[in-house]
Amino acid sequence: MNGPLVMAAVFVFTMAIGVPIPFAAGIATVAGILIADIPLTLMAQSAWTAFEPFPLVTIPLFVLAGQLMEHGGMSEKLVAIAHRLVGAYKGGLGLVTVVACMFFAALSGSGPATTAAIGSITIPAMVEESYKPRFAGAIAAAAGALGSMIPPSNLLIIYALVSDESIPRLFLAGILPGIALGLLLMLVTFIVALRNDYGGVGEAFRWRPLLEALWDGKWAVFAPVLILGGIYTGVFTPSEAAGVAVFYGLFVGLFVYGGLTLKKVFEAFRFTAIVIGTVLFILGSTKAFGQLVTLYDIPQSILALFEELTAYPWLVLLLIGVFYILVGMWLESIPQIIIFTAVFLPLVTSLGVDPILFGIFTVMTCELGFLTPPIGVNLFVAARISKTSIEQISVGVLPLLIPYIAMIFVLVFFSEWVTFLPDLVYGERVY
Amino acid sequence: MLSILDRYFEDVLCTISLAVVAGSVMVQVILRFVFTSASAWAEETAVFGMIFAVYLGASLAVRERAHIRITMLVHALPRPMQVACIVLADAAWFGFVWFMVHQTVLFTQLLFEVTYITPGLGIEQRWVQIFIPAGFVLMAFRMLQVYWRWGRSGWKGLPL
Repeated sequence: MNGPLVMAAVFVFTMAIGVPIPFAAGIATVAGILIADIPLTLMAQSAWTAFEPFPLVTIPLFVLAGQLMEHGGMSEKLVAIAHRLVGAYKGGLGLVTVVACMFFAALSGSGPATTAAIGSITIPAMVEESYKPRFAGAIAAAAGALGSMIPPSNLLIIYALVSDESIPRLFLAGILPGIALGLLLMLVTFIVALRNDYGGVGEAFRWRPLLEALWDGKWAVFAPVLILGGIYTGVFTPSEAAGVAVFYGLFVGLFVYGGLTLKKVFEAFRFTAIVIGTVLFILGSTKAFGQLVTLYDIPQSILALFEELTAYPWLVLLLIGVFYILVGMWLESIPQIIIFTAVFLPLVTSLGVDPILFGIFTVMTCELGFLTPPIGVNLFVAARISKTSIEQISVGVLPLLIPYIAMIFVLVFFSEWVTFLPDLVYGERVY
Repeated sequence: MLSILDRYFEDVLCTISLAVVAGSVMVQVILRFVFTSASAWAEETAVFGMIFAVYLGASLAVRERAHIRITMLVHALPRPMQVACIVLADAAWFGFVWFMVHQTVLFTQLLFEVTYITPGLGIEQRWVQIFIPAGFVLMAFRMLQVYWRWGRSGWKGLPL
């Protein structure tokens, strides 16, 4: 029997009838193991060993830190700063949302968390200024996706683990595309706001209020300095930075801004447990999957499939991008990265594509998946906050997808600038 | 008493496990700064805490019905087919969980025949490893509980 085909069929079928994704992946892996005739204890073994790599603890810690910072009052301060910065222009609150999301993305590693943290403050305010609710929600959803592009990023950590790349290098590579994406999102927001005559009633920009807001929000501004500065000066490893971020968020939330109560702290822990139990759990059931991919020589057969196209790496990348976006419409990003990096990374590196670039490219396409129905987590979050339907938000988000699609093309055709920062800090990569 | 246990069992254990993760990493930072030497045991407690939190979190998510399913196709079906689909899916899911219980018990038994001391804490690996089958048993129990509650509510809606 054809192992990979059976596995794919089992995976798709079990998911379609409603088996939760990590368990569908587990069942498919068992099918693959049975066909390959490997001892089934491999599953039991990987249920433990999959979680042994120490850098993995970074993910629950960043989720927890993000929760504590959001409920502790930091997101309000960041919105206030963004407001003083860009609030006066047409579509001011929309621009505020994007800028505040960029700030929050620098302390959170997750897209949906960023959407929730900033959107829950700015979406109601935008609706009050008579933005269409679907557009207000869409801005927060699209800008929230920056959470997984601007470091720290949970998706980049997962990519680093499956591809054996360095986490700090990937984080650095995410900065420029993240900022460029943020600026493009602001441009689109501005144009849409101009055409619909949204907002633009705030006070004109002045230095003094900005500095006051910055001073008032100094504890929130210091968080990314501590996290990212700590990582790049070599004071902390990424995991240690995440641990420090948890205690920093706890300290500021409890004693400085006072937004946290014991009940809220408990809720933050509970939320984190559910996130890792539903999302990270898949590692245990798919560790064996990676071994099967090698065993079945899947990268080799994919390579053979693309043989005609090897002269055109850009075409291969674009095809993978389209495939990733289609898959991302259905699958959570973490399972997607785990499953398909193993399959496609050997192919693209053999075509001379930098693995760091491919990581950024992968996350960028996953983010487009975040923003497209039916399984767009950011859209769910934004729809809940703006009290509209997923369908409405999906329409509202369409113009904001243009920056993402444009960035994917830019990544495919001009890639040097992505690796510029990591090369600058850590020196050129040696292959 | 039982209902309090039922309501908060995973929640409290998850919180403790995650607190252990955060605490261990912090201790590691402090130890590294004060004594300029990393400690292997803190790394181990962090990883153990995370593994516990992942499995307890998965079980918690079963109770809260928070696992991510693709229900778009299912919802497009007529009601009897919806129920059939979800029951079939849950049967497959339960089958997988029970399969994992079986395999992890076998694997843990193997560990009881050999001695494997963890390098950091110096305890026997089997005493932490035994947590995995326990976690899957808890998950299976929570799945049955979801169905029991569904039955008590007169099989209304879907057990999602």
